[in-house]
Amino acid sequence: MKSLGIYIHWPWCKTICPYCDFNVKKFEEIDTDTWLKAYIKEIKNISLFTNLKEVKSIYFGGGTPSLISAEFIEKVINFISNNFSISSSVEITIEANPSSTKYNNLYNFKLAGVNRISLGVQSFNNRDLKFLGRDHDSYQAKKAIKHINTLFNKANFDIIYGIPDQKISTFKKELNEIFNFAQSLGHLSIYQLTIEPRTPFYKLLKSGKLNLPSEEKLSDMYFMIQEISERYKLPQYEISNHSTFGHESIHNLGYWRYNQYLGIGPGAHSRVSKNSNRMSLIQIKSPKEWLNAVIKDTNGIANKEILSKNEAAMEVLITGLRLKEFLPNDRFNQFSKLKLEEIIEKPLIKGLIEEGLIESKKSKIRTTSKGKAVLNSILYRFDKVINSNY
Amino acid sequence: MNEISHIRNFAIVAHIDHGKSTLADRMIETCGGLNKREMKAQVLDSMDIERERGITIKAQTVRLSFQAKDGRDYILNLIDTPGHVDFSYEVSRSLAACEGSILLVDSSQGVEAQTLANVYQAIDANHDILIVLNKIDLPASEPEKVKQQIEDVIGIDASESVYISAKTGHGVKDVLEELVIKLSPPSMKSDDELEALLVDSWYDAYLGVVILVRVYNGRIEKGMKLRMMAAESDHIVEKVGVFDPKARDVDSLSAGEIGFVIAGIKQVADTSVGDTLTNSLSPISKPLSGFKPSIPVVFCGLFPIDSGDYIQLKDSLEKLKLNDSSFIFEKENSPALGFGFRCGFLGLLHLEIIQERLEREFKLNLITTAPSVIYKAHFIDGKIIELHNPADWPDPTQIDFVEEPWIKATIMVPDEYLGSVLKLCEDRRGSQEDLSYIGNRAVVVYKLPLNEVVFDFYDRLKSISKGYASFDYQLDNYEKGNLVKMQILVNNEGIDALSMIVNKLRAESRGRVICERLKDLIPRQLFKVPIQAAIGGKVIARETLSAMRKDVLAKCYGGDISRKRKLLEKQKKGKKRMRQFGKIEIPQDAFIAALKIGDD
Ligand SMILES: Nc1nc2c(ncn2[C@@H]2O[C@H](COP(=O)(O)OP(=O)(O)O)[C@@H](O)[C@H]2O)c(=O)[nH]1
Ligand SMILES: C[S@@+](CC[C@H](N)C(=O)[O-])C[C@H]1O[C@@H](n2cnc3c(N)ncnc32)[C@H](O)[C@@H]1O
Ligand code: SF4
Ligand SMILES: [Mg+2]
Repeated sequence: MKSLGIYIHWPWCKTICPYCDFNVKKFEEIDTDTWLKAYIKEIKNISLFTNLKEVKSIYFGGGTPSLISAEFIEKVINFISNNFSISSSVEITIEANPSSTKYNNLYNFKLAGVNRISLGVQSFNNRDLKFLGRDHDSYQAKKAIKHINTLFNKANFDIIYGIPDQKISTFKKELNEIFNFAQSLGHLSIYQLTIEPRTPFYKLLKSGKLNLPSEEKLSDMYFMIQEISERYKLPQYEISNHSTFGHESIHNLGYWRYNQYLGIGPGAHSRVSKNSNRMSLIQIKSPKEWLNAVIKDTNGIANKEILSKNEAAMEVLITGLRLKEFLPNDRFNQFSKLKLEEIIEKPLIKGLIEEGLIESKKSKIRTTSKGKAVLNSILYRFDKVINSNY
Repeated sequence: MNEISHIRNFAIVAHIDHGKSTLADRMIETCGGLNKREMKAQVLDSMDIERERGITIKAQTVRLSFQAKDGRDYILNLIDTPGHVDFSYEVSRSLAACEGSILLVDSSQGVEAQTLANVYQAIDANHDILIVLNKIDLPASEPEKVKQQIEDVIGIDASESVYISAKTGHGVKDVLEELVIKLSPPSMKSDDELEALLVDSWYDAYLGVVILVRVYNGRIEKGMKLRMMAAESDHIVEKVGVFDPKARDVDSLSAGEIGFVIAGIKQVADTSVGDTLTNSLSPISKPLSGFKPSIPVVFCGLFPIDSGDYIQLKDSLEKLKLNDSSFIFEKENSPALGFGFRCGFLGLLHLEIIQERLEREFKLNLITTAPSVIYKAHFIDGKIIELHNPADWPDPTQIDFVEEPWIKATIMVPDEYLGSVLKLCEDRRGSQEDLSYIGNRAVVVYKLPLNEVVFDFYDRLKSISKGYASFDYQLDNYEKGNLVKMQILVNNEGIDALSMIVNKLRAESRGRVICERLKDLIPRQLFKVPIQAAIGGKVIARETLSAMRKDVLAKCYGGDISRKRKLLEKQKKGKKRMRQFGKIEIPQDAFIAALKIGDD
């Protein structure tokens, strides 16, 4: 029961948020027909790299794919179903911004085959929304959630925390509101604000104008989220993701379980099996160049490489240790010369277990909630063990 | 052959920065030793570091030809002397080769600690002394007052002092004239048996080992067989020459002269400074009194930051040693720092200079461990062992007692800073020997344990006196000390590179400083890390580094896992200079910073 996911990247947004580091561009007049042709052609191209036939999930991400017409979405979905077999339980998600989420749009997306919405709320606090450079307010966000709730069985919204000057006490109040809404949708993604190089926020930070919460505060916020989420029965199933039972994102779980997936659109990544190895494909990043390459040349691939066994093994950990569920040893051992059973006996990793950052059960492992907060440092140790044989 | 009555051999003694090198340059210029183009400022400070730091490290010599007012041509041999306390030994050796000294005093500063120390050495060497007051071009110059000071403090007649500005050249000719008049020419015996002193030796890439000699009697010439009496070795003289200031070959060096000799000597280590040279065919029976060899008093470990540089460090140390026999080194292995060398130096500045030369000339990145002095451990069974590495500290139960070296320090400081200086000396276990005044400046003499001085005394002294205190010291004696080995433990593991020998009463405060410093320097780890200072099994200071709490990428960028993988690889590169200690990693910078003396 090998699962395949397909990701479609739509790189356009109405405005670019000052923290955003995704492959996005400010929306300009584009020839929609040409773009549709390109996506369809490229889905065909990339599909040749896998021998899996059954698609378990499709994800329209961005950017702001809610700016695309339902007709466009439907044609893409149809093309995929003509070239693959679509699982009866397929999950088809589209990311939506509150500023472009009218009831009618949502309804048409639903008719087109979309069965899950991921809404970029970011905050219910207008001051923070403004700070984040968003083009919606909390009223619009709440209304969008209401519409989604009436139309869709599965949905999510995104929240960002760790915003400059954010206070623990106000955040706690906000969390209750957030989880109330999350409970109605069954899923919540709650991300700590990351300051990415080359973004406007990064420049502010460097010039000392961004008063980010301290590591202590961020940690307090993180654990507060865990505590409240348990109360609302939306436990963490991935570092930044919470859901009621059965409402997890099938598509995203595919990444974290290191399943195969195809990424189509500017800058999108694929991971496919190649004999007993993993192959990585990366699409051309610039939207214009990608379109040109796909339409005029053979395909939009910028980079294609077979990952080394150790690289693939590290990727299994990078993704799998984000989850609450245990990471089965065979997922790791299929790539790594050093088996998971041996690795957890190494002093560097044993220390992690002793300190309650990692748990092991029948040589399967997982990070604890405390461990997830410091996953970077944990991965660094694994890397050391795997690549330097410590 | 030069007429001995036309020779004057002299040194310049001065406190640092009073203008010795500048005056030497002016004299060379005046005597036409170098043309303008060749005349770089301070030609005698030839090493880059000397020029940059403006201090003279190794004594250099130059021969000047001067036609005096009396119409005769004189040969003036100047031996430049180092101007820092660490090298006071080299001062004494330079003085031994001359008959007279210029006492050079900055007329805007007056007498300083090294002025005193050096002039007393010159007096002890029976020198004729010419007093020269420099920097009279400065508005703050007060030559009359300084003259009075010299008479009061040093007790020599200053009425015939020469006023100069080494900077403008004013009065420099007068200095040369006075040298001819005031200083005695060398004397010589009636026979002509060769008697010469080995003043210095160094390695030259083209010439091999070069020895600097002062001939007292007889002569040295090309082709003769030279005997080094203490070394008990014979060498054929290949080349004889003088520096004017460029090396120039001459036929011979005769009584009263100073010059260099090349005699097929393999390494500097085969020569011993202060040795007597004589003719192998007709040797004299009794050597000259010579002088004691210099001994290292400060020790530390030098480790390459990149362990791959070990061999290069070894080669570089050997090369430096060719030119500087006063430091020593031996292999050392440290779990914290890897392979390196235990090195001995004349003092802290000497240590810094060698370290800097290794880094600059040999492009090495080094870690220097805490400096230590030589302790004498007296064992219960009567054995006595010298120790300069905390790693070698014996089991305390076997030790009867330990002795540590003390110095006698002379500090001169303006009255307003006296209080802080006294406090510093008392804090460092000093005992006051004398306190007097020169004008409004205090002269304090303290006995101090050397291990308190090598820690950061000099830097502290400078900072509490805003740079006005001057300092000189001499090794005094060994005394019983209440000494213990203090260990630093990080996550319960001893970090050998940070161990040190301390006075028991001072251990706690020093331990606390280091623990606090490490707490700031070591990045947070996945769990909390105790940082402790301990004596034996007993913890005397403790800090806790709290655990890292948040370090995660909130968002996994869609299917872009490569991004995270690349980030990890970048992080790994950034951590190249980490050292593993059991469960934790400590960046090497943390050791370096914790060991850095003088900024707490
Ligand atoms: N104004 C002035 N400065 C001088 C004079 N002689 C030396 N200096 C300066 O004093 C500093 C120390 O001189 P230097 O010759 O290196 O002193 P040394 O340490 O005794 O060798 C340098 O910056 C010189 O330029 C002088 O006659 N007048
Ligand atoms: C790929 S974005 C697209 C969603 C949609 N365009 C929007 O912004 O509403 C998915 C989510 O990533 C989160 N995100 C983007 N940049 C982030 C950053 N620098 N730090 C934390 N979260 C971020 C936001 O919550 C955003 O909703
Ligand atoms: S709308 Fe979403 S994708 Fe677009 S710039 Fe903002 S955060 Fe990025
Ligand atoms: Mg000088």
